[in-house]
Amino acid sequence: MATKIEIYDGETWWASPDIWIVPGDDPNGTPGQPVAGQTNYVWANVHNNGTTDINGIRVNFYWSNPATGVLRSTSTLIGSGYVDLREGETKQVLCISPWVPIVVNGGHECLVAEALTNLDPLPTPLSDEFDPKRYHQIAQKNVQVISFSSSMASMIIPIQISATPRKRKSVKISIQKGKLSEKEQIKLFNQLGINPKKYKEQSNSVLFGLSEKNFTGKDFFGASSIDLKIHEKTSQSLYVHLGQSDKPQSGFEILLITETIDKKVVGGNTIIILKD
Amino acid sequence: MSILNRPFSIEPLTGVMLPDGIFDTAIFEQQITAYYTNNSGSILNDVDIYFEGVSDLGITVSPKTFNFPIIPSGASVKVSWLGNFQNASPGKKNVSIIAKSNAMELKREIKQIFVTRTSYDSTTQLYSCEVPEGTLQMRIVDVMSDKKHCKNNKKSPSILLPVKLEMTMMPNPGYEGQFGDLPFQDPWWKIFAWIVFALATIGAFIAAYFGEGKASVGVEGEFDETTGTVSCCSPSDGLSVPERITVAGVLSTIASAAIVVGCADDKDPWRRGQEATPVKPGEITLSENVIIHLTYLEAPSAGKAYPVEIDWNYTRITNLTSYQFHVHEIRNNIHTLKELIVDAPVSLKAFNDQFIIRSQFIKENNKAFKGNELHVFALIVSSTKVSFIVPLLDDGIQYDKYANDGVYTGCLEWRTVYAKYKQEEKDDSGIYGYWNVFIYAQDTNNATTDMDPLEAATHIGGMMIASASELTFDDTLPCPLKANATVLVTP
Repeated sequence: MATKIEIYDGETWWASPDIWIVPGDDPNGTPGQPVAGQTNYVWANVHNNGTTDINGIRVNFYWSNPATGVLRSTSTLIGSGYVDLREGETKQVLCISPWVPIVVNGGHECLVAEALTNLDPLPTPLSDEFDPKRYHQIAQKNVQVISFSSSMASMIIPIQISATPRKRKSVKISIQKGKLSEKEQIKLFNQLGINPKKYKEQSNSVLFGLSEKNFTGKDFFGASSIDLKIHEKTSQSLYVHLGQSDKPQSGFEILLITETIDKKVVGGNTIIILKD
Repeated sequence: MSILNRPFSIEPLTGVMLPDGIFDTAIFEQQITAYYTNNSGSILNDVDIYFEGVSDLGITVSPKTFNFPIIPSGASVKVSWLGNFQNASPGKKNVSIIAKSNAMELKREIKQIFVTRTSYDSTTQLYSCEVPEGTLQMRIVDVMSDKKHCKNNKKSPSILLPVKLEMTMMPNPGYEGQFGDLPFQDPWWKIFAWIVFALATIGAFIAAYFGEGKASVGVEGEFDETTGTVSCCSPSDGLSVPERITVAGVLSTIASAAIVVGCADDKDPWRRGQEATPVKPGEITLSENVIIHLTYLEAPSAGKAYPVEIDWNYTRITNLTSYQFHVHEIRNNIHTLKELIVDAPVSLKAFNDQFIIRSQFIKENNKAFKGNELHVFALIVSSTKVSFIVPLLDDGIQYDKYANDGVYTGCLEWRTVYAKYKQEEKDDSGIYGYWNVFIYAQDTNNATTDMDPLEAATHIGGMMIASASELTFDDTLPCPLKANATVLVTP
């Protein structure tokens, strides 16, 4: 009997539509964006794509600072839930432990859900990287929504790049425009409490770049990619710089930040920019 | 399907519900127990019920799925999961429990449980019971104990009856005005006095059972002064240690609940003290002391309206002054039972006939307790003193004919009997002969979430309303213990 417990990745694998937030005190409320300093509940869809029923699957929920590659050592366990899944069944699992995002990140954090069962185990010992692309039991939601109205000249968004406790790494961090299928966009927007009909996709309505500097300057948007050497057990901050283009239409744009090691994408972060 | 009342704590070694069903970190392992009610209006088939989660990372729960091939309409099925509360924090916690069947959308019930943290400081001989709204400190000044009983057998639990207690409630933070918050916005502070006293005794014999080196409880105490002795009439002679622990759990619950009886259900001494000592505008209450002295006009007994003479002094200490209030009165147990009816076969053939026990619990108003109103179990003891704990349920499932008809039913399976005889290396022939059946029942807290806190506080669960084991003050008299039924088991 084959066993396969899955939490699906997204079209961009770090933007899983199987993980979502319900802000507020009622976990059965409407999905939306996390609210810093207040109670939020995290949910995950878990699928049994094997050929046998499995009971007592443990689903762990974590949050991490906005980052590209997410590590266990820099993540915090929010809580756990259990689920029974019959063959072919999908169920929503609630993390009944509330999540209160820290205000310092403006409420944005990266979320990870992993499904654990002896019948479809993760390798032992677990690697420090969650590596959701590799493991079907793990998914990540690293999506940030930024309201960037035309009245704002520029904006800076911090992200964090971390190395594992035992290994330094050389990485390339890049930023580029991204695109979602209409189906995924509608699902993602609904989960984030954004009316998909209100915003139309735009191109070139924002200027963007990456920098190690957290200051804004006239016409300074950084570079499209940066090479970094991160020592073991340390983190480094990078900053996404946004500015208005000369075509400041209302709508949305998607930016993808990727972390690449030896030409292999190992992590990412999706930023949805809303322009009213 | 829905869970109508607050899930409650069962101490797994004794099988007894902890006071008011409240969980405490001092007893590390507890069963999170709930009645899930089919209020769909129709029969449900093939229902799975499992525990999804709890909102405290310090509580670990062992997953388990209960499958019910059928749940009659209106029936309440009992489900429970073993949790470890050693590292829990005190407060209200959400638990999420899932019910799912092919004919029914997944139903997620999110209910609150209450968790307290009780500890003991051997230097000051003070117990502390901590909740978010404040801390109740207790010094057990005087008890009656069954010293003779426990002297010869360390693993035989000691039963303590409270006589004099000094308690201080320290609100967190101090409050302005006449009345402070109720803990968890629900029970009276007296419930925490009950919790502390019950844990002091139950904790001691759980620790003794598991022995040193196996962490099982976080609270144990000592009692220097005793003003009398109390004896137990219980089916403990010849029983194995686990069953003796069960009986001791029952007796300790009866004994410690005398605090609840003396301090009254309608309003406890803290509330009455607050009513009697109004404060000035802006005055902050920092602590409220209550010293109670209990005198027993007769031995506390489950389900009986036994009287307790109580003398208590309330002192409110504020940032400006202190106020006092004194009460001397007699209170009667109001968690009573008019009649216990037990139906068991007069005789049956071993390994052939079903060993079914039925019981009914009739209230003073002649109506029967039913469904999720009680936590009931039977202790069944063979002629060769091998004993079995059997849950009795009114869920209309398997041996129970109808849900909510007030008949709580259980069956002792012969394969269980055979296995235990083998395990204890007893001769199978000992199965034959006269078996005794002892029935125990506790009421459940039926407060609902929409109740006003002052009303919810008057609803208390975990009181023993039926017990085959009794306390007595004079061990020279014949023990009044009687089995609720006797069954002749033949080959």
